[in-house]
Amino acid sequence: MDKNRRNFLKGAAAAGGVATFAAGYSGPLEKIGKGLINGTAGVPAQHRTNGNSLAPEYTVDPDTGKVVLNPDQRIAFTVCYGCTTKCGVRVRIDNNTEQVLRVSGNPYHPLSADEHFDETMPVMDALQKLSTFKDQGQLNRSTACARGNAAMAQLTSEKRITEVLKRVGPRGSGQWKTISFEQMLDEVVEGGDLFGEGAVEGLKDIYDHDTPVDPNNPEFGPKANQLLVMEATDYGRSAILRRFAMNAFGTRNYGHHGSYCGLAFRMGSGAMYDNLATNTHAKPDYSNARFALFIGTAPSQAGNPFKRQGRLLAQARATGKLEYVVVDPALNATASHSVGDRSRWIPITPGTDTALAMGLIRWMLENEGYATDYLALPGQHAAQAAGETVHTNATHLVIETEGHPNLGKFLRLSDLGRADAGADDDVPVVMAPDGELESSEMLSRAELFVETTVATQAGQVSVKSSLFKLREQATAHTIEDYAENCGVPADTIRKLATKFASHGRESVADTHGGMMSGTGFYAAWGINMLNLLAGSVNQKGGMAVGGGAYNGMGAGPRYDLANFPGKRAPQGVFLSRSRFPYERSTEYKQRLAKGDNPYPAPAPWRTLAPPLLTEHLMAGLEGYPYQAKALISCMANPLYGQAGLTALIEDKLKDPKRLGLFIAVDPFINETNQFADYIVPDSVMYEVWGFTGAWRGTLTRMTTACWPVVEPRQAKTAEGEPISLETFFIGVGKRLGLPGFGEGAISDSDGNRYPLDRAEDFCLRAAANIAFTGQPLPDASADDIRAGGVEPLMARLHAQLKPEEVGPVAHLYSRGGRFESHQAAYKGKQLGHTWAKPLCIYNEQVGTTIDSYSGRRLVGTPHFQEAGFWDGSKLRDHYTESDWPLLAFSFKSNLMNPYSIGLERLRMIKPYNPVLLHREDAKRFGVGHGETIRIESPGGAVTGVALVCDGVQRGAIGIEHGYGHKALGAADYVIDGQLHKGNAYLGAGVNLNDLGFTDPTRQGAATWLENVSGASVRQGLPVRVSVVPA
Amino acid sequence: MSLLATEILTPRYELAWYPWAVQYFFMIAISYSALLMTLPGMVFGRERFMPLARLALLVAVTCTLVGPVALLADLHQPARFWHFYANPAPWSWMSIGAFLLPPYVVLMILYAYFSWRPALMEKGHNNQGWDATLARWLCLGSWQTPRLAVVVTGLLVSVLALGIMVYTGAEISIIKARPLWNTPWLPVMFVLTGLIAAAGLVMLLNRLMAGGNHDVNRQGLKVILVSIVASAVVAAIWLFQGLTGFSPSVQAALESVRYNPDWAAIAAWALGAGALLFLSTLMLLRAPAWQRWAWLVGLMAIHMGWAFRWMVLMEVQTVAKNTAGYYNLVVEAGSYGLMGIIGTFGLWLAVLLIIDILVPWRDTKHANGTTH
Amino acid sequence: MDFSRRTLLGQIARLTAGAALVPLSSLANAGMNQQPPRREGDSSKRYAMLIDLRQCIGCQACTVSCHIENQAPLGSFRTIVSQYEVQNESTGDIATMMLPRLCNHCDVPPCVPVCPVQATFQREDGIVVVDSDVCVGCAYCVQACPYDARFINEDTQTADKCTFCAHRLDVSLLPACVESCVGGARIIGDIRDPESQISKIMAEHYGELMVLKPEQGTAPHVFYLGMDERFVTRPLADPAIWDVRDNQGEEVGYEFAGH
Ligand SMILES: Nc1nc2c(c(=O)[nH]1)N[C@H]1C(S)=C(S)[C@@H](COP(=O)(O)OP(=O)(O)OC[C@H]3O[C@@H](n4cnc5c(=O)[nH]c(N)nc54)[C@H](O)[C@@H]3O)O[C@H]1N2
Ligand SMILES: Nc1nc2c(c(=O)[nH]1)N[C@H]1C(S)=C(S)[C@@H](COP(=O)(O)OP(=O)(O)OC[C@H]3O[C@@H](n4cnc5c(=O)[nH]c(N)nc54)[C@H](O)[C@@H]3O)O[C@H]1N2
Ligand code: SF4
Ligand code: SF4
Ligand code: SF4
Ligand code: SF4
Ligand code: SF4
Ligand SMILES: [Mo]
Repeated sequence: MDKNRRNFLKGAAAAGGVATFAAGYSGPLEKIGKGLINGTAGVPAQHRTNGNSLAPEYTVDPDTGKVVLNPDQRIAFTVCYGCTTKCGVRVRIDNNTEQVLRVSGNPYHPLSADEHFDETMPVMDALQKLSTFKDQGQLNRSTACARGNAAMAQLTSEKRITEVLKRVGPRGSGQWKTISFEQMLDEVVEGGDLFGEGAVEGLKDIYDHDTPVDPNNPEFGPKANQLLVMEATDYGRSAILRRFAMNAFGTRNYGHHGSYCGLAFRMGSGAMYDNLATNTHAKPDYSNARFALFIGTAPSQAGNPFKRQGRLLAQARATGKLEYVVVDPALNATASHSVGDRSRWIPITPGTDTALAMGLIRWMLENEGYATDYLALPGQHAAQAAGETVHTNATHLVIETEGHPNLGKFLRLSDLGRADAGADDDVPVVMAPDGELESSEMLSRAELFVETTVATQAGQVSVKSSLFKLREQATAHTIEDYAENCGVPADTIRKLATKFASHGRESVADTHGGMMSGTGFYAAWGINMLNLLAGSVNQKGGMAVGGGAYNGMGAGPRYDLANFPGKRAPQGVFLSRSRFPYERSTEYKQRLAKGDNPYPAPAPWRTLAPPLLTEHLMAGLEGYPYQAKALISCMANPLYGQAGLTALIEDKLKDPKRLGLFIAVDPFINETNQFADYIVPDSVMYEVWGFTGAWRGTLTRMTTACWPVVEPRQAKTAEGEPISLETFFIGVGKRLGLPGFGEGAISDSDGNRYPLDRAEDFCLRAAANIAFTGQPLPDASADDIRAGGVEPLMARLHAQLKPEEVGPVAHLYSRGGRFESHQAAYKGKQLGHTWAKPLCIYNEQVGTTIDSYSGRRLVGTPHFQEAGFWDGSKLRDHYTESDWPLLAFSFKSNLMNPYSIGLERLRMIKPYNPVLLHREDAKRFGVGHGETIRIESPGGAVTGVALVCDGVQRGAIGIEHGYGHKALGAADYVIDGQLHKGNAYLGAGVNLNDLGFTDPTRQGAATWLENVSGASVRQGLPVRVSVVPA
Repeated sequence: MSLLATEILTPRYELAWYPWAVQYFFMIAISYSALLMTLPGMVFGRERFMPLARLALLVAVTCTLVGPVALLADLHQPARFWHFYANPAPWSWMSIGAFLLPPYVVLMILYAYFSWRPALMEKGHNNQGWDATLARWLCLGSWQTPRLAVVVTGLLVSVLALGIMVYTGAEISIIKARPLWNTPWLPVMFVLTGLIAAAGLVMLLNRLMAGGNHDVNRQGLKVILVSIVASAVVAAIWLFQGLTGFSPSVQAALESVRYNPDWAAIAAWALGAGALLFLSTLMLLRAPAWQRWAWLVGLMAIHMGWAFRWMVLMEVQTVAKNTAGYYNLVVEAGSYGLMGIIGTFGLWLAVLLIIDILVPWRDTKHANGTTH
Repeated sequence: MDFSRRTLLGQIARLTAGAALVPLSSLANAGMNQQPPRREGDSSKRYAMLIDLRQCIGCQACTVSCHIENQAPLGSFRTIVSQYEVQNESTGDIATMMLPRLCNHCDVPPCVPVCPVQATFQREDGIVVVDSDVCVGCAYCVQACPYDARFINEDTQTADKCTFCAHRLDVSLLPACVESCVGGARIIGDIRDPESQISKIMAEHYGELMVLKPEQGTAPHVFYLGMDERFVTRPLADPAIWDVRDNQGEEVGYEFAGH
């Protein structure tokens, strides 16, 4: 080859080399370029050594403690929607950009603070006490949890809906267009051919109190009941929603998430506290308890109130005197290795808690492990005399004779002819130590275990005392049998009972989400019974119902926000057929008249249960008892949250023939409202008005005030109000001409009338009510107003309120609510706020309720039960262990909640939820750690990653809740022709609810629900697993 | 495996050093190793080693030029390289390295320049055309190249090369945080594997650019043989220290990778590749007829030198310091992965070819002396 | 457990017990340890943190609040809490172990002397910081830190790590992670002031305190109470699963990977 040619080729090759290099070096070259221009290859940091750290919100002089606020920022107190705990938080806001910078706890707030500050403390002092000045800040912190910190990103989320959306494709197609708020109002009120699919009844058509929804069943109530309104829970804004739904529109069908949250627990607890109307429950007084049993609740992993429980538990186990045991199918954050023996985890098989509870009860009853003297107190007089707050019905006698008119009720003085039936003095009768029958209010002590026959006006009847009946149930099986059933060794049960009994009235047993099983109601009651037997309710170190809330939304000292002219009381039968005995239905009577056996009812009629969202949707779509015509869903996501619901109703929900109108009010498109016809954008936390209440176990009275500490980001109405839940209901209310909205809807104590046109018309008056409850709050100081970030609110206060109200209301907002002093938590050895109704070993209401399938009475005390279906058949009768060898259960993520997956700062910590599988089961099914598995149930299948470990019960499979989303950012949608791509990372992981299935004994018409409560069953779903070949 | 625990949640970290680091360590090790191979011929005037020296010098120069370019790329703030000189930190090996590197490069260039200049002059005199003009221009005058200049620059750059060996080795081996690095044997291994790779590259170029000189092959093979045996001894000592607990660091090192199948595979590979290289080198030395295949052994040797650095610098970074796991080593396609690796080789090739075009390196002879 | 592991653990355990003493006794001559001289900060103070693991609930409030306060890039952590499932050696019980990690602000910080441009330095009050105007992003310090406490910040392209929130401490505010610690586990303060909360707790639990990787000789100034000595060094455990799979079970990788 010629030299030049060779050189040319070499040169070309060299050039090629250089080109490759240039390509390879592009990254560094870019950095060099940036470096030469900006002095850094990155984004210049704000500060040499502090990088991009935020500027401090204020400074404190290390010598004097003087607080100097940063004029570029403000701190305001409002509520966190990071989970249902609804903590009071302090939000740091950049005054220049109006961006939220960071969030921490409100130090006046008992859900956030160690020991919350007195509301009399000036805000500037509070800020000083949060600083390092004299180490005060960490001696008494007020925090926001990981979600509470991360949640601010919801405000600016790219998945947020800010305009009113109307579907343009079929339901669920993800095709939307934006319309004006006013057009939406027109359409939903007037109805018509809204989607080119035929006529749709508007709300004005449904708002009909003259026509019965079903002429053949007049008890069902008016046509107005065909509107179903649902929300997640009261995030402080329910008052307006309920005012609309129940008292203005007047539909019977309002529902919240309770039935797929923890209803079985609440009702089981309500049965013991003798309050099935609002299902009272209590939480441990962590700081003073000596021994705690957590069976199916996981304080510090989840739990309500999440943060408060987590903090108190941590302190009590480390520096207090608490020892505790967590009985749970899965190991979770509650059981802390670092405290050694002070915390233990004992695995249990899902859905078997009645066995454990009855085993513990049996041991306690057989070994005098109960508070004998306390239980022997027959009535309130005796209790008071003994210095007790409340008595139990341990000694009360239950009528047992079949056919007796009062069968299942307590023997009362009237049965003996000693009082008028139903009169105030018609109290239960007990047996005195001398064997005489006596009024429970006359004796100071009565016999605990009684089985006898007594002469009553209706003849001889046999009676048993409540405690006797409980013992009967408890001793129906041996501890070994119970152990066999629940997978907790008999010896362990005995030890647990011994330990529990040994700490007497400072022993507590708590439960919650673990009760969402096929035996949840009785299990929850049984677990609560331990507190009753130990006598720990109302005790310092015992179970606390808490201080409750200040209600501003009622008929308050300044304004009447509950009543208005034309207020309605909803009539008729709930879609869910709850709180209404089947025996009073026309259907029952007709079947009886025809001589047919009225049982079973076509579907459960649950007399004890509150309205159930778990049944509402199915009932309304199926048309039994009647069809729903319109659904308004606010901030709720049952299709993600209720096991098996999606598979059951998705197709029906998509069908406009079954449900004419579906309006959702929500800032996000979630698994449920993706099927809506309209989505009305809503405010996100920090932008909302309202008042949230107190959780049980919060020892002092409290109410959190929330107000838009930053401007809502969604579009505005023609009047310039941000579109939101409130504007929606007020708008619809005014357009329908409903009472209670618009002109003159609110009256003050002098009878003056005020309009209800905006959220603040209502909420600021509620604030005045709260501020003036009891001893009115003082005026806020100028410093308070500045340091508490309420300056932007002041103009509104002046505009809405009477001059004398402005100062106290500003005071309230400058502290983020109203809070009783921490001092009120205790009174001597008892709690400051106590439960007053007698505690039930036997609950008359339960014991006299007829099961609408069998026609038989329910058992009136806790008892052993196996998970089963509506017809009473057992789970394993249908789904055998050989076909479905594992029981799936779910537990809450300590990081996520059901709608937090969009938060990058949480996702970066835990992007997925591996499925917990015991080492031995893994071996049994050939599954390796980290392998992909298919989990199949009778209702569906999911694919997950196996976390093979020892931290789960053998035979059980645990799924952390909060992952496996199908919408809420994971799905694509189109608005005005523009595609918004779903993010696959938001869909990572699995959702146990996709494994939910229908109750095989209800002809596939319903998901599996617990019988007494109607609570969604998600614990103990039969499944099998197989390895997905890589 | 007996377990203490199951990790439920731990963070994952990005690797902080990119493959650029491997490229630098590879290039710079070849550079100083090849430099050593030039010495007998070029500096000490042993004619028998001149063919080797010519090739080795080419290798040394090219790698010296390319190495620092890769090093710069491994900085996240490459344009701030001058900070090294503005804020010296004599207690940091990296800082020391930063001060060693420029004189090393300069001296290397001078050494090569003086070595090549006689041939360049000849080319400029005897030829026409742009390259001859350039050669004349490159000679910067018509003065005779003093032999002493080659000797002095050669010796000086060798001293600096020693510094480079020490600093590159020490920089890594002082990191206690990574027990796999924290052994005084690491610098030794860097040098030995550097020699292997350099000899390999020389043998490869010998085949591609110098017609496969036998002496070169034989000398190269010997370098490899000695180095590989020495490496084996070092590895054995290291392992022994770990297994007996004599060195807690080595013990910790072994612990840190002991249950990881990837690391077992790496160990097996290292053993296999080493044995293969050893055997084939031995075989070729025994059967000179087969030495035309020496370039193949050369390729293996290069691979060994590179892969050793890849393993040490990249794989070791995957061992989590706190948790039981191993971080993901994802070699991405772009600058900070594959393209970066290829790019460095591209640059090296370019430099090689440009020198090849411009410099009559094949005619390198001692100043005042004769060719061959 | 095999033999070599046992001896190793034994060794470490002993080191651990002694290690708690190291930083305290070396206080007097802090800064005299072949380290470049300390600069900036208040020389009358020595900041340290105590983490009472018994009070840590693993809520990650610290992780997120730190991330926001210090604007770290997604996927990079100045602090994070590892979670393990562990067996109690004596009872056989299984429990959860939480282990918050952050920069230890070591008294003998190996990250400092390696820095070739003096960008990383230790303040007189013990806080180890990085001057991001000087840092060349060589990541040498990242390699040198035995605790994975450092990372290259993809935004600033310089080394980043916990600063004990010096910007807050300097104006008498608590670091974000301490302020947000739900369990009240994190306690920061000046250990030269015997009246500080941290000094008092350290005095009370002197013999129980442990530090991470004492064998590295770094004299960490993050002290742990309630620590299982098996965790002071890299634990022998089944590693966490880092696969992220979408709804269909397809591996999608870590969303926040990459630089
Ligand atoms: N971090 C976080 N905190 C939260 C929430 C959240 O999403 N995230 N959500 C809030 C809400 S809405 C609620 S209602 C509360 C609920 O708070 P919890 O009731 O404490 O939590 P859950 O996870 O619902 O259930 C508690 C435990 O029951 C266990 N379990 C499951 N099946 C069974 C069983 O059959 N028997 C027994 N004994 N245990 C079983 C689970 O493993 C789980 O650990 O938490 C609130 N706090
Ligand atoms: N498998 C399984 N299932 C469960 C549970 C479980 O532990 N395991 N937990 C159950 C429990 S306890 C509960 S309480 C339910 C919860 O279930 P739901 O209460 O029905 O719904 P969520 O998913 O909590 O959220 C409701 C919706 O509110 C919207 N939203 C989010 N932030 C905001 C905001 O700031 N403003 C407004 N206006 N809207 C917002 C979002 O669209 C979100 O989807 O799930 C239950 N389901
Ligand atoms: S517990 Fe956390 S997420 Fe829930 S409300 Fe409180 S701060 Fe927000
Ligand atoms: S923990 Fe790491 S980064 Fe922090 S001072 Fe110690 S060595 Fe340096
Ligand atoms: S990355 Fe920055 S701080 Fe770290 S060693 Fe390099 S220059 Fe120093
Ligand atoms: S002290 Fe500050 S920088 Fe360090 S971990 Fe805590 S919040 Fe993060
Ligand atoms: S915030 Fe406190 S309790 Fe929560 S994980 Fe961090 S150190 Fe533990
Ligand atoms: Mo809930």
